[in-house]
Amino acid sequence: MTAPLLDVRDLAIGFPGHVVVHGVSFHINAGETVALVGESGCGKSVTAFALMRLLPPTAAILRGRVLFDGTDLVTASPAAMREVRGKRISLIQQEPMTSLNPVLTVGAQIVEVIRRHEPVTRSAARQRAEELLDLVGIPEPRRRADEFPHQFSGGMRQRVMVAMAVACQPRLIVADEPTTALDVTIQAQVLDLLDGLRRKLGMAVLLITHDLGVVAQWADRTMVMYAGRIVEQTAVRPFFRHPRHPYARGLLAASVSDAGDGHYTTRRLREIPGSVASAAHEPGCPFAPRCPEMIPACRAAPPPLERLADGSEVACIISVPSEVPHVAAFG
Amino acid sequence: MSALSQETAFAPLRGPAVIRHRLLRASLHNPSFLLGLAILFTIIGIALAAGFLFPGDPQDMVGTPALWPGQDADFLLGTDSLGRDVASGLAHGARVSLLVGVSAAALGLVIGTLIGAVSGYFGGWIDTVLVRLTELFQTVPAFLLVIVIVAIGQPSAPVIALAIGVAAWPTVARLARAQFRSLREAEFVTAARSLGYTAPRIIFVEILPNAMAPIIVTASVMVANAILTEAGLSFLNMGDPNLISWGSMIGDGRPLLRTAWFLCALPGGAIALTVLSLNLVGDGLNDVLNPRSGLA
Amino acid sequence: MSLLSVDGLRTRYVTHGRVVNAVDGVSLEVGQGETVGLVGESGCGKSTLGKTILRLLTPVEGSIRILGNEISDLGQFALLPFRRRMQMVFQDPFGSLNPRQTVATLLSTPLKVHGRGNRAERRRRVLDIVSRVGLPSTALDRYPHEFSGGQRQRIGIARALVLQPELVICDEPVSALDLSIQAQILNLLVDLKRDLGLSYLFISHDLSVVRYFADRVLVMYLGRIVESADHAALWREPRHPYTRALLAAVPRPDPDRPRGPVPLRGELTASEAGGCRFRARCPDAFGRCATEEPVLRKVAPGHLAACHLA
Repeated sequence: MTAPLLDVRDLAIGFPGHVVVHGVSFHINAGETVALVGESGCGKSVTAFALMRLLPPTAAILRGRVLFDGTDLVTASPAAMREVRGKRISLIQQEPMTSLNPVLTVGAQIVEVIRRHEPVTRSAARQRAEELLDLVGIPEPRRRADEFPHQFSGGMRQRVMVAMAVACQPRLIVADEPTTALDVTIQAQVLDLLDGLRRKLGMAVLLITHDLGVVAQWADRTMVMYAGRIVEQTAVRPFFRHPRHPYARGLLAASVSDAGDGHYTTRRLREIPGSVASAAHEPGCPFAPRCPEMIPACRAAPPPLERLADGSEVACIISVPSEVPHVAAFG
Repeated sequence: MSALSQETAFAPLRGPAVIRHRLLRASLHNPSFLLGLAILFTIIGIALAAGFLFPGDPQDMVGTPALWPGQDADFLLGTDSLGRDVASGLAHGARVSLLVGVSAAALGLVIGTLIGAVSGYFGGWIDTVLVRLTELFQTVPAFLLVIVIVAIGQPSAPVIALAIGVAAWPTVARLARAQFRSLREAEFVTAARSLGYTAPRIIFVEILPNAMAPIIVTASVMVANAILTEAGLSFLNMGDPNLISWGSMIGDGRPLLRTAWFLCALPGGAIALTVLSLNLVGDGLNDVLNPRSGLA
Repeated sequence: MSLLSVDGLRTRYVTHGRVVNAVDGVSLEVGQGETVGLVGESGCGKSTLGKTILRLLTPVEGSIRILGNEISDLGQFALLPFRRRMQMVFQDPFGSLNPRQTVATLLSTPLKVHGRGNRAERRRRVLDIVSRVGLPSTALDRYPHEFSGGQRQRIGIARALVLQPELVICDEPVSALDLSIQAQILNLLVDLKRDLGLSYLFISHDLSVVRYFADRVLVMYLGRIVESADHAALWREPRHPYTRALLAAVPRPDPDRPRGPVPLRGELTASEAGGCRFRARCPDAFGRCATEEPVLRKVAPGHLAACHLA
């Protein structure tokens, strides 16, 4: 069995005064798309930034290892990290207008990425930049390479971001809510583009999203985070067919898109009562205050992430691996 | 519904932070702010107690002229060329400086905030007219404007304060206008409009409390500037002839600069100290009130 | 008589010397007790439409009638009695509440401004509405920053309802909320509609939410309504190519039903004048589409579409 491309072990991240990520462990294999799902405050973005050591100065990695192709990124030197970022791990963020420098042309920004990591001449880099713009589906790439970000629409800008991200053929792309700010008709195009490039260039993608439809259509595996912990990790099909963790079940049940033909006149959306703030001072499982299946033992200690027979993992002491549809738990 | 109420009982997001407490906590961690406050309070204290510490008129000639500090136990800081007690002059001068400084700044703040708020909120031709007016006042050198106004009226402390206030409002107006222009697009302002709130209510009750932070910071600097302007006027003998102020003391001490330089140095030092303390307080307020400063 | 009746509404923006009709000839109706969903992507004008109906913007053309009363040309003072009858729930739970006011102030000021009751009555009304939206009475003395996003949205809803309006325009009320909180807020809105006899104009870009929540759905594109149908019919039988593309683009949370192609060409661009404004992206556009702008017409009982091919 080949070693995974990215192997995170017991990664914990904190700000002064409180811990945001409580020792998460997961892996990403070469060439696969792993979705990281969770709601605000669950720590998914912080985890993603920590992988690339892009945390704000007030945050700190408290412990853990991030093994990327054999190197531990947590202890790597700043110089080593600069070689990794943009070249071996790339980042695509949510808001392309603020990720792109408004005073540089799009072509110049792509060239900058290329020349930072590869010893090529300016004209060769420029040629490559135009090829990349063509690759991501921007019409008239030669002309548009000399235009500024504000001359592009939101979807086009995000394509430019994709071009920059794949410019040096990284092994892993971290995409933090890449289509949340885009219209739904554009979202499909951009995600299809990313997926196509992934297959073609053999990259892995860590796709951070809150949209379960996106997870179902574009991810191979999914991880669910709640209050700084991973609570479930499975392949995508089993996840939607029989999610194990009560929070995952609740998310799927509450998801409006899952309502299908449902209408408010005939059925009520199943809620997860309360809010994530209740996890703050909980000594046991962080989801216990909101969990419909909570038993007293749940509040003793946070349950560890346990591996099941089929390779999936759940952090719940009472989760029952059954074929019962998720509807029943919250009905 | 009651079960729902219980479940939505909230946990505070970031500790027990109410805006006031956060302010207090942040200020206590800022040594320069505290230093500035300490100096300022001392000066205010002396000004308040001037009548008690140094009864009588500081303009009275009470001693031998040009005594050095420490020469005579009755006059710890010496006397000036006319035999007036320097210490008494400093203490009573503090009153003048602070009173004129604060009232001038207050006037400037009120006028400037009003004009800036109306200009920023309404936009359109109102904005154009008021911006031109602001520019007009800004292009006239402030000190000269003050001199002209004082020359037209009488050189008394209230008129001086008025003049300085009138010269100082443009800075505040620009600031207020920028604040109101950006805040009027805020969603809670749109909500206020959709609820039928009148423009005065929106300007003063909805937007102004949110716009005050940079204006408050500017206030301390304005007081400092007003004190300096008043001192300059008095130095040039254009101040209130019935009052001793730090500026007038410097002016009176000028002829004796070579022999009794303390007559200039002491009031000059007082001015410098006051201005310094106001600047420190202003910086501290900026750190505390500015949401982007990272102290929130 | 409908609660809200809009006819031929046009709202104009002037940016950089260019004139843009953000709302370009919209007609719609909201009946008493009805929920009308308004769906469209960014730039279609749905938010502008909502704000124009509320008279936060002034239309250049067209009529807006609340229970028969024309309000499109009224001054701000004459609008006051009508403002009480229609309110808005905003998208951003963080920006839509004044950070310097307590919840009590936020909720009682509308009552004060509209002269409803004395202090005791206002207090009673505020307590009532706060409990209806599922918040404890201790919330009244707190400031907005002490609440989570979902709770702030509840406060926003309470503020919209404190004057007892009949029509509530919801402008993307759940778009900024987490998934699990969306369900809570949508359920709350359904309950309030039933308990207080409200009508909603529900604006959203999220088709799944609109499908669940609305009785009738209007699809908007570049300032015009391109399709109008009841919720089941729109999904069962979309008649306009844009609607079909929208529906195809929504990713389903079911890995066993993979996404199909999205029948669209290119991105949102303003088509040249004359003809259908969707033709630049339409996979089915033909000759007539370039010369003649299609009119919103009946294609089936209760179903309207603006397409030559519908």
